[in-house]
Amino acid sequence: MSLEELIDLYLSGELDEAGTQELLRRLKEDPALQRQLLAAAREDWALRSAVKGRIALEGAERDARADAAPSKSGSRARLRSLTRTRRGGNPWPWIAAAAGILLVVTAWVALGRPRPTAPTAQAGRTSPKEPPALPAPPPAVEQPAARPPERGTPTPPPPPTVPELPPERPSEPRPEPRVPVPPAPTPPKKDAPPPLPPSVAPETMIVIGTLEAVKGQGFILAGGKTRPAQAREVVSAGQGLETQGGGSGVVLKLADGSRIELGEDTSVPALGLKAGKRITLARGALTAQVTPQPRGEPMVFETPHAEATVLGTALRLEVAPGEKGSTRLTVTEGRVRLKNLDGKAVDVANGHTAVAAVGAPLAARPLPKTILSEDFEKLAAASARWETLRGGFPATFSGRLEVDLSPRRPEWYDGGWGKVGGLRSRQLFPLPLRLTVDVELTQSHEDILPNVLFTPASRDEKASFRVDRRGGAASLLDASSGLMRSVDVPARWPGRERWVIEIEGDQVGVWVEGRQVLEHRHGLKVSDAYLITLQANARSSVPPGSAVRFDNIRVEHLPLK
Amino acid sequence: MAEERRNFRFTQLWMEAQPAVAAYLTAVGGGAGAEDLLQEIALAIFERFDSYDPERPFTAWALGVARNKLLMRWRAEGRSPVVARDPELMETLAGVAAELADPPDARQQAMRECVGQLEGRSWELVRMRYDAGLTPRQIGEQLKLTATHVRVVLTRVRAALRECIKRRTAAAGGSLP
Repeated sequence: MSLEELIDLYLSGELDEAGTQELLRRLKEDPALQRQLLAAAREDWALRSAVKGRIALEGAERDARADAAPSKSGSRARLRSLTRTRRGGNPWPWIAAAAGILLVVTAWVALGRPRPTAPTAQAGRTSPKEPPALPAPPPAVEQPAARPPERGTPTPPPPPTVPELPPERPSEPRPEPRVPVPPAPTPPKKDAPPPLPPSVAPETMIVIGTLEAVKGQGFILAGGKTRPAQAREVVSAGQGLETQGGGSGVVLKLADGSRIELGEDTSVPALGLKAGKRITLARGALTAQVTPQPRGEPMVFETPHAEATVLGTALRLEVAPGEKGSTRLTVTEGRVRLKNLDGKAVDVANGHTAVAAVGAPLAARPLPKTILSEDFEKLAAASARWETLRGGFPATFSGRLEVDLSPRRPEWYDGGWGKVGGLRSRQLFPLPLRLTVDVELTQSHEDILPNVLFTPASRDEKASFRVDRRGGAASLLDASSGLMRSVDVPARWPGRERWVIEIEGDQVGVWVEGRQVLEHRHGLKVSDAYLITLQANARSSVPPGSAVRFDNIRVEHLPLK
Repeated sequence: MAEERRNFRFTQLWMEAQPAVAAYLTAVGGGAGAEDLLQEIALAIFERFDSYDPERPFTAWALGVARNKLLMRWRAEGRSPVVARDPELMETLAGVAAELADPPDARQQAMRECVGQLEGRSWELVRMRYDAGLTPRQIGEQLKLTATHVRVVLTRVRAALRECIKRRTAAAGGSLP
């Protein structure tokens, strides 16, 4: 018998006493064998954990499928409770130690609550318990839909290939078929964990995870107070997290390995407690990589507009606050159930997105396909993609596009306005499309006019239109500057804001900092594809050094509705 | 605040030590009930945490607590497994477990993903062995197969999983220890 077989028999509890003594004798003499045994035991444990994790995930998926849609009022009540501080309730089972009196984060808890097992069960080597009835086979696990790998994304390795069962050898006597034996009744646990010392119990906190990283201004909200967060700091239940300012962010790592990244200007007022894990996102955006969750205890993200139930996946949630706000869910791995305030739910699968907003239909749509992602880092490549507008304000690009609007000689201006400067795309972008761009103004001035011009494939100027920001307004205009629609939108100048412009047919939607500010049909002749021009203009009254910068440009082709 | 720091410190250290303790329990204490035992040991270690000397390696200390807890438990149950008759070997194995301790994140994730790809008879056998805790002989009885047959298949499944983990950790830029 090989050593591997011997260890396998030992770990599976099938090695008789003589064989065990022989193994132990060899173990005492052979350090390599000691390491081999421990390595096999470690693999045994990891495999056991992974199998239980998969079963828990499948159970949770079954529960989710069987879950009837809740009543409207119930859903609303639950969502309204977002702003309230959560108290009491069941602590997270995954961080509960055996008796529930002491709550400590531990890694094994990702497996869920332990089954009530008699203490002697672990002694299965010498007195194996009766086998439980064979469980029904689980439903097939749905694999994520195949997606073409993005550029630079390594191709995932193929799944494990396991050989089929070898032909059975009738070498061992086969027992008579047996009726499945029900599991033995569970005896009361003999050695329940001892009570917690009095000095610890009242103040015991429920540790949720640790902060892996803090970028910019990150804060912990605790007991109505706000204090700066630090990397490696523990975060406990009832506390919240907040980020403020451009470029800020925090990364929270949970004990089960899940990672939650908060983007800039994001507020998670409460990391709550209920069955499972509940995380409230009041505003901003978060990205989560969620490990498979125990059966019946999914991770739930709550927003003012929706509730996303996660069984083990990767997702991104973005909340635009306010009455007209919305919650966008994007799933990049696995499947998430999104439920809106009306109690309607939709399963959002890998590679899909859905938006929950008051009065808006809830449906999952395929993720847009990115056509262009431009950060102007590589000059040669950027030059191939863009052409500079001639004769206007000077435009330079290196890491970002900058249009210098500093005053020039008076005769250079025509009708008070200068000559527009910027870059025009060399390629056409098909509809429906979404343009995302960060726009920065170095000065706050009424006479600075950053804008994006959309020119049809025919170059017909009469069919062109543009979106601009001037002072505290956002507007949609045709090429002859005929105003179509204008709305007040508070400006953040000097500073940077993100614009998102969606075009489908003649319908134009504009979002500023995640909030939709404009939706209008331009009524012009519609083209199948458009050139995009990032440009800016100014009057001579602006101070020297005035500039508009464009950066982080992304153009996506949207799936048809 | 001090309590918070203490708990945080414990959490950090225990998460690092837990795979080694789990492997040790599996090696000397048995696989089927190791989860319950691990929870009890975590609690025991937490209760003794104030006596932990931060100058010493935590994993080795936790393994010592685990070994004592296991011996006490066997004694209380009136059991005397073969390995329990050799405290020196138990201590030696604890030392080896401490040496083998390593951050398991990438491998665990890869293991989960690879197990998620198992299907058919392979998955059925793996589930019976590692979830239900059945021995190969018991599985064979249920499925009308020989125990040897079941062991062969499980060995092949484990080998395939090892390959899968290797590919995935390599693809993720990780490395196998």
